[in-house]
Amino acid sequence: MSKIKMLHLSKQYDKQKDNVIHDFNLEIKDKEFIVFVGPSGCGKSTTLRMIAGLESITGGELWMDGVLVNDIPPKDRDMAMVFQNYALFPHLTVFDNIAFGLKIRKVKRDVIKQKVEKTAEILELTSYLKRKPKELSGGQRQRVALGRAIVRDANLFLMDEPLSNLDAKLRVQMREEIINLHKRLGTTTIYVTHDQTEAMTMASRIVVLKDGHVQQIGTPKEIYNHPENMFVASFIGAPAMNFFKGMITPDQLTFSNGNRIGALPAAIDKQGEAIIGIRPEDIILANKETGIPLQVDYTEMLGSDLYVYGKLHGDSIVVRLRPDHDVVTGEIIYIEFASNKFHLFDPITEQSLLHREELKQ
Amino acid sequence: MEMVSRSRKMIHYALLTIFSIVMVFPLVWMFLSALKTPEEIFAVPLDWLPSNPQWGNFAGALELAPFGLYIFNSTFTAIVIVFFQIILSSMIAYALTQMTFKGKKLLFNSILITYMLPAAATYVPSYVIVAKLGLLDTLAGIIISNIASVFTIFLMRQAFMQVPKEMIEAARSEGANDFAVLRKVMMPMCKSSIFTVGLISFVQMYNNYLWPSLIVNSQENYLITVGLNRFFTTSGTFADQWPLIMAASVLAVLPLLILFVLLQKWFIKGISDSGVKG
Ligand SMILES: Nc1ncnc2c1ncn2[C@@H]1O[C@H](COP(=O)(O)OP(=O)(O)O)[C@@H](O)[C@H]1O
Ligand SMILES: [Mg+2]
Repeated sequence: MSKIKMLHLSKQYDKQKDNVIHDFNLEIKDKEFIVFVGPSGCGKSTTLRMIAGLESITGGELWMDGVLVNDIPPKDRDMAMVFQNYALFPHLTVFDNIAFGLKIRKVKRDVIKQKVEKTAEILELTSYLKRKPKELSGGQRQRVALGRAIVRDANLFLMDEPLSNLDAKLRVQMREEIINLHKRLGTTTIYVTHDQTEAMTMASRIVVLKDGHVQQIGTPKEIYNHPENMFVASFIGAPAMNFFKGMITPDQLTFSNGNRIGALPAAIDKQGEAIIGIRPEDIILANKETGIPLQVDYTEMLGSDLYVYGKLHGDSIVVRLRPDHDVVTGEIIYIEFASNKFHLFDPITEQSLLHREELKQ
Repeated sequence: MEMVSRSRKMIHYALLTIFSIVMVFPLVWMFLSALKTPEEIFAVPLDWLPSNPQWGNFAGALELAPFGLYIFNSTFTAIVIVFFQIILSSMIAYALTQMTFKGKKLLFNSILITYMLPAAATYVPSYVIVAKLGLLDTLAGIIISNIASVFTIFLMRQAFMQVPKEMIEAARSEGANDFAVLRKVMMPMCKSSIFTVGLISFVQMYNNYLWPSLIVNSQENYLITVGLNRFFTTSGTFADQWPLIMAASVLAVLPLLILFVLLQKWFIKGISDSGVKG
């Protein structure tokens, strides 16, 4: 069992003026799979390493199962960590790598043997136990790293971009394995990635970070459907959400020039200029009379989808269509927006203008 | 192009060959002389090869003085010294590379500065300390006065700095404390560097002459370097002792040669890489 509470957690590295993590608040329930996602350098690893105890906490409190652990060294926090570069011990065999933590804890030899063999079985490593890490493929190394983490029955798994060194196909496969492992063991997990797809597919809750500030915390669905600001809106989802300048009038949304875009998605207090966001899949083809004309700059055929790129009043826009549409470069297509799918943002604060409660109704 | 680089290579090889010959010549001369008669050593013109190898010279040398004991003393003290040097240096190097504490830079710099001091300048104070410890004229005195080595600390620190941070963090998150990190991760990962440092240090200690000669007085505590020299100076350099002296020298070199052959693999590895790749 592992519950974690982070209260106003902050981090300042030695000899740096500014904090790299600001006021991080999060409560993690037992068995959750939390994903920290954000661009490189936003502080994901730093936060994870503070939870692991590998990095000092310079502000705030970190609680684990009701114990304040700020000053407790890593070895006494009941967690196991998986690193991006696997961090396997090159001088030890796969068996000894997996057994490392058990040996440190002076577990009996036959118990170690039994546990390592069981773990190897789960991860299909049984026939590699005598090999050294350098005799393994990337995927196998990653499995050994996972094995080293799960063999100890730790209460908390911390994973820092564990899949980012693998090729695309293997990454998808290992993603699956980690999800299954979590289902099977139910161990509370904090997983760090810069890849929004991993975040969306793996997380029970996502924490979106930018420049050391938490942007939003929520389930993948909440984050995707109700982004609280433009950063979250553009970071989650690929291709990214379209943004263009518009106006909110009492009864409708218009372009800056006054042309109608659509109905208001919800009652909104604010009038005037706004940034309108719409996901590529929420733009649909319309007929010539009612649709908004869009000149096609280029297209991308992905097999399952067709992405059409163009410009709308100077703002780049991408439309996601079914692949059976015949759209060619230079052609003019007519589009309209699925009306209740608009996201509205304040042009200055970039915060969402929609109240989540209203949207959910 | 081809010709240029080829002739350049030839020059390289020629130079290397000349240097190797110059370096190895005294050693070969020593081996050959150890098997000659006194007349052959001083023969003019030079006799390269002994006409009748005098294997008895070795037994003769061992009869002249207890060279066997001296060699044992040297080997024993050198092994013990190297052992402690490695243990102590690895602990200091660990602290210097893995821990953060006030005055770390100062500590490292002051360690380095002691290296700059001429050894002779430390003899008097060191002598006084050894004397006060009551360790004059003992092997323990030689050992204790040598177990701290700046050279070893420095090289171990270099090696430890090559160990990827993630390895140490992985060990820590697996529950290792500082000692476990040092023993189970750092030292095994720097094995070849440690062998190299140990070997260099062993040779240095085995060849150490001046300082041990100041500390020890009684014959039973002589190191081979001291023993050879005393023998040389007290019994004179009569012509008929030269083959025996050469034979004793050959015996003195033997432990080093054996060690080199045994550890050659590690030695080259330690120099060519830090031993932590892969
Ligand atoms: N050891 C360190 N010393 C000083 N600054 C650091 C250190 N590690 C990371 N940083 C800085 O902290 C910020 C967050 O880094 P990090 O947590 O590694 O980001 P992420 O894992 O999200 O890519 C970056 O600006 C980085 O330069
Ligand atoms: Mg990182």
